[in-house]
Amino acid sequence: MKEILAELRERPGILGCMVTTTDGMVVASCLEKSLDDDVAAALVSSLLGGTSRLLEECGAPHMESLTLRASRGKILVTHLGNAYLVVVTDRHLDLVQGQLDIKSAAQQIKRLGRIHA
Amino acid sequence: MLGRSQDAMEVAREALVRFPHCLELSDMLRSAWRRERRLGMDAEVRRVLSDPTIEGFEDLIEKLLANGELQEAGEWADRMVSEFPRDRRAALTRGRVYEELFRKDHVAWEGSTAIACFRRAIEMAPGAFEPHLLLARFFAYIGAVSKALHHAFKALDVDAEHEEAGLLMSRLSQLPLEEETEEELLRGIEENDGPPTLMHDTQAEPPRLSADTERGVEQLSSLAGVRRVVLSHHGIEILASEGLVVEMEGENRSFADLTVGFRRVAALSGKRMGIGGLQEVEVAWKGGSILVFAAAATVLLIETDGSPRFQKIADEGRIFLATCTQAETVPVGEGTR
Repeated sequence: MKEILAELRERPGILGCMVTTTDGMVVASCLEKSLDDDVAAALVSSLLGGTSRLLEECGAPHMESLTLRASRGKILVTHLGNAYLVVVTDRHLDLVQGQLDIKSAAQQIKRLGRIHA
Repeated sequence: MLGRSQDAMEVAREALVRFPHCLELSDMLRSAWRRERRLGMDAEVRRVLSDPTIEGFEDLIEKLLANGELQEAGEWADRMVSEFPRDRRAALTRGRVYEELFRKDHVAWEGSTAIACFRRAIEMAPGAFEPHLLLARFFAYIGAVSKALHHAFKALDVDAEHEEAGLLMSRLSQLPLEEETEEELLRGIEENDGPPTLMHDTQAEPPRLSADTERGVEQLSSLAGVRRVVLSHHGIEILASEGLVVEMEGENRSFADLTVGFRRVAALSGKRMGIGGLQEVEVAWKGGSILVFAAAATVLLIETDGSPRFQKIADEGRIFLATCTQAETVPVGEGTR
């Protein structure tokens, strides 16, 4: 899994990526130096927590994807079955190519089988 | 009208006279105006690249700021400082740009960068008035009263008659001194998505949303494919469903509270991950989606049924938020000291 994340991290515009369980526990990560693993894990966990509370209120089972757009970049979350792939990008990411790369990484991770924290 | 911004603006202006409340026409006029400004900006960029003078950088950055292109202004200000590292004007301009960025998105490191730039300008010219006033103003904004007082004093030392510095000084001298460090104050603003409010006007009426804004929320909720719409503006929340604003109690209250909480978490995630201030979030699931739009102290959430009209709904949401944040005024006592 580390290799898949490292390869994705090499793509232009991608600042970091991680795989988390559905409740936000980090399984594996590959982040740029300025992003601290623990801080990123805590942020992702609270973002996923806030999202799942909203989804519960809407009667939704689980999210398929989340795209957060900010002034300097994006956070893209993809559902992997029993986990999430979280990707942080800068604002210059080519979204079409970036989404293809993320989709391909997500499929490779899914093929690895069930994910445990 | 493709590529003919001037013509598009003329037509949109004429149509707006006949249909003054048409949001789409207003948006069309705004887009055409932006395209026109962008063309002028591109010419300015080419001029700076071919002849990189400090005045050229200053002009370009001023124009970008006036056009609301803050991120790009920040990138050019960084470049300006690396081209002219010993020029006080470059440090001041970069400080001003980062101050604007901080006031917009409340990202702590952008605030620290503004302070560092103003301090660098003071190092280069300790007797200059402007960097002291700018620092005093910025420290006052973040609640660092003692530091603001120090720099207001220094500014008045240089120009004792300066009206704004004098006014700032008299307002600051009525406020309690801060207990936190400047880093703690900046982090606090980042977390709370806004500066502390110390100058409450007790005579002011409590803020409320205009009838137009309420009508806009109702219209959004009546669009095909939309289930619920929540608008939170400076602490006032309304929720609309099927074209009507509904009572804020029980399930509705809880949904509105979750919206505000989600915005806070999403905004903080973006800032602490180093990708800046929150603009939009899109959450999708089988059979539905949520769109969240954020601007300053306003957040708009639209819950959809996963309709194929998703993009159209998102566009309507963006147009509404832009119009709503322009129309609604900031309540007295909020934002600045």
